[in-house]
Amino acid sequence: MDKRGIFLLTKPPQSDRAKLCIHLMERLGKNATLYLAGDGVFNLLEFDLLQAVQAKIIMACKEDLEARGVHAEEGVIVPENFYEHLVKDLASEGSQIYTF
Amino acid sequence: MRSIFYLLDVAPYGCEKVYGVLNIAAVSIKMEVTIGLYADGIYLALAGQDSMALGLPNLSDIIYAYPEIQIIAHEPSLAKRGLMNQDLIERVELVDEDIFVEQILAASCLILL
Repeated sequence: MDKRGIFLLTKPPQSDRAKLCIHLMERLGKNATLYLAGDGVFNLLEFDLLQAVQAKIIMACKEDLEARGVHAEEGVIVPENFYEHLVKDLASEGSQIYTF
Repeated sequence: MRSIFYLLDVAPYGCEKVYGVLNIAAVSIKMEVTIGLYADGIYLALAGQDSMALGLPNLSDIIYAYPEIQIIAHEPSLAKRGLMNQDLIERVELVDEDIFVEQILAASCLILL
C-alpha cells in the first residue's frame, strides 16, 4: 500500500520549512493531503506552487483565512470543523504525519 | 517505531534547541537516529567550535560522543550560506536535496522542534 502523507503546514511560503514541506509533498503527489493553518494559509497566495504539487486534498482553516484576509481558491476545502477533519486523518490507519 | 529523523533548522549556541535536539537524539540511540541539518541548522556542521568562553557545552563534542547518530547536512542550505569551502566536522555527511528528502520519507517519524 502506498505511503499516505498527512501534512500540516503552519509556516508562510518563504520559510525554509514550507519549502521542505512542499518538496516532500511532491514526492508523495496524489498520496499527500495538505492542511493549512496559522501562517500556513498564506501559501494560498502562491496557489500555483501548491497546484503544481497535485496533492489529493488541500484544506485550510477558516478562522485563520478570515483573520489574515486570505481567500481560498477553487479546489481548496474550507470546512467548518477543520481540526476535527485533521485529527480524524491523523488517527487513520496507514498515514504518516508531517508537521511543519 | 524503528527510526527517527530530527530536523534541525536553527543555528547553534544562539538558543537551546540544538542542545535539546542533540540530547534527545542521544537518548534515542536504541533506534535508528538521524539528525538532518537544514537551513540555519547547517551551522552546527562547522568544524573548530570552541564554546569555552561562553560557558556552554561544546555541541560538536556531543556529535563525536555518539557515533550511533547519523548526521546529514543539506547541501543547498550550505551553498546558500556560502559555506561550501568551510571545514566541516568529519562525522557530518553532506547530502543533496533528493537524498535529504528520501531520508525523511524513509524514517518512521519526523520530529521538528
